[in-house]
Amino acid sequence: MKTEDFDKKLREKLLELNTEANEEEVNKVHDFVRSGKKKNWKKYGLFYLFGFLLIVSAGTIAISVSQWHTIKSLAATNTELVQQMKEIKTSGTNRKPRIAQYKGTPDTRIHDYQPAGNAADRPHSESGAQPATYQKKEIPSAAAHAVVQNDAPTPADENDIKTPAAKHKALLTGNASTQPEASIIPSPDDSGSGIASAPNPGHEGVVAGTLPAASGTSAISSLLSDHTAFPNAPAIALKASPNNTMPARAPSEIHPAAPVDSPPAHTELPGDSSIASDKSAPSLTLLDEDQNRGKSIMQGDSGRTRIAGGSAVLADTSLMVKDGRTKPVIRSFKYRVGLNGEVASMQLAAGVMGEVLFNEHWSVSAGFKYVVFDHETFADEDDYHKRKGKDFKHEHNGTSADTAQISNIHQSYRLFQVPLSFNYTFPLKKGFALLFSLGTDIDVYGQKDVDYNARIRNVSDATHQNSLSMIPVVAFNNIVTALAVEKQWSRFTVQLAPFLSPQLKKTDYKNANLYYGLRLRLLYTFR
Amino acid sequence: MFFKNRDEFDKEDLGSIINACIQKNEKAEKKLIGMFLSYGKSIALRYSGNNQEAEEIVYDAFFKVFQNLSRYDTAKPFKTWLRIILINTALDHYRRKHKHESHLDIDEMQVVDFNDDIISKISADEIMALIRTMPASYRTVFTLYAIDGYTHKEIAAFMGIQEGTSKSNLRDARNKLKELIRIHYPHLYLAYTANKLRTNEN
Repeated sequence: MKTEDFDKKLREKLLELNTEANEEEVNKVHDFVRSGKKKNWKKYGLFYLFGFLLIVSAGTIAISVSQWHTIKSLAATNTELVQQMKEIKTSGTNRKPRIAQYKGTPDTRIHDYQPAGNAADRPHSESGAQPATYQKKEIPSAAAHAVVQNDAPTPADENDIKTPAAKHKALLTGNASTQPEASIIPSPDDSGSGIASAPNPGHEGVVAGTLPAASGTSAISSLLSDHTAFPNAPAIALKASPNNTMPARAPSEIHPAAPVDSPPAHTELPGDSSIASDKSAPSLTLLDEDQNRGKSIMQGDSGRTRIAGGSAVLADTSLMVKDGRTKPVIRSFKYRVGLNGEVASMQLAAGVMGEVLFNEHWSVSAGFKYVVFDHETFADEDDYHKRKGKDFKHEHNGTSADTAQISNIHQSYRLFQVPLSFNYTFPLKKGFALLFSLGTDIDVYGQKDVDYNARIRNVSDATHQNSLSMIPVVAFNNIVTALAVEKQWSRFTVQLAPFLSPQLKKTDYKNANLYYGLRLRLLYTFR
Repeated sequence: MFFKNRDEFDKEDLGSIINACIQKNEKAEKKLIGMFLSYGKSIALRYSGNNQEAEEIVYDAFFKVFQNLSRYDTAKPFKTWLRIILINTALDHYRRKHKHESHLDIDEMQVVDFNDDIISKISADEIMALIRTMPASYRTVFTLYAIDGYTHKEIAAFMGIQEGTSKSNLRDARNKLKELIRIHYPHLYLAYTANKLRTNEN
């Protein structure tokens, strides 16, 4: 009781407190209330700006790390290439030449082209004045079969090679099924002898390729001549520059094959080992030679590069290797379009959307969305006035008589929105990905649909009435954040995303602090 | 003449003023602020340690009032609604600024033989000044319980403390206030205590 008296006396005393407010104070409070909204915007703006910067920074770091790994692996590949080039250089004098061994078989698929005339009349150029006439010839030996190998030659290989005229050792590398990529590498002993065939009557034919300037046009002629001398051997005609003078290049350089004016050549090897070369087929071009070492690198123009030296390295078209440097090629943007559906608290939405993918991670999406809010029901106009602070009849002017009694009011809104968002995708395995998105829904156009019952006094039956009116919209009023799970099948993508949408500014049609829901998107990718 | 001017409102009718405020009528807003600013200040002063803090509470509270005016239930008195907003705003300030303040002079306080009649001899401003010198936790619990009539359970929920803490804070706040009166008004204290002692003896 004692304490209650103390409290009571204090309370009474404090009620005597004089805190009259003057006009200046009223204005100050009013100014604050008016400008406080701006302050609120600043607060939210800074918060979301900071969040956006954080996401951008994190994404940039992730991309940088990813690119660093790519560059690292490319550098390793490059080092390997350089190492292989060095090996090629050093093995030019020490290493045994690599051999493509041809062993003829009586396979009917094996053909040999033999000029009808003598060696002097034999055409070696498509543009030559003398027409070529070839005859198909069966290889008579039963031992004919082709061996085209990449491995270093064995002593047995060497023994198999017969080079009767110039005793050339030659090498035909490359898998027979990848004919444009075949490399022809001569032995060191080939220097000065040009292309030589190995027209062994035992059906072992080998062609090799350093074409020194000194040999001039005689290289191909000698090949053909030699071939004539051994009619049973298969022939491989190589394209060469008209004067057979090959530009000296640094062995480390690898270039896409340059077109060369050369006579057509046609070569068939037994079985699957045929090498066909004509105008339409990728041409074989000697790009690199070291005359002293008798070593060359040949490259097909199919976009793939094969380097003689034991192992093959395939260079993708998106990667250019030159002078030991790697340059990743910039990819173009991708586009996705599709359907968008959303179910959220008291609202349903559907629409179309498009997305621009700048790279593997970052994208921007935009679209068009039709939203239906269905969330306000009032018992009667008094209830409406109590909760909305507005007079129903005044709001819906002319929709009902002043004397009508309004009841069972159901109010819904329809909105047309433009959803915009920045997305960061984190790829996972098996076509799955996580997608973080930050954006907003820009309200473009709004309608209010009101259903109610109106009953004129002294009339027993209430009439159902409907009012559809345009409402003013606030364009930017919310932020939408989503975390989506994405699954990709070929060009089709499905995204499922729970989303949160805090309301920055409350409007008549969106008067909750926070909306949340689930979003489903079906997308098709254009490249 | 033919159209109703929406800027007009009945300055004597609170409902009309509130409706005009919802329509963003500046005059109505100023009118509403003018009507209740004094009341708001009196509440804010009790919960604040200084005038600046009281001003912040009032400003923030009125901002909330205008933000949520459309939600105001006209069936209830506006003053009650405003009071709730003011107290909530004051508690927000307390949570933000004072919740983790410590006060170490609790054990040194002494419960004195206090005569409640002294309060009637001290002005309201002076009493308010004494209340505002108390630690924020004491002041808030004391104001919520003794002035605004909340229960310990409600206070515990508002302030995020235990109910027992609320009770002990209230007890300490009372003792602290009595101690402050004894220190700042010794002559009154002696006079009233002596009177009380004499009365008791008689």
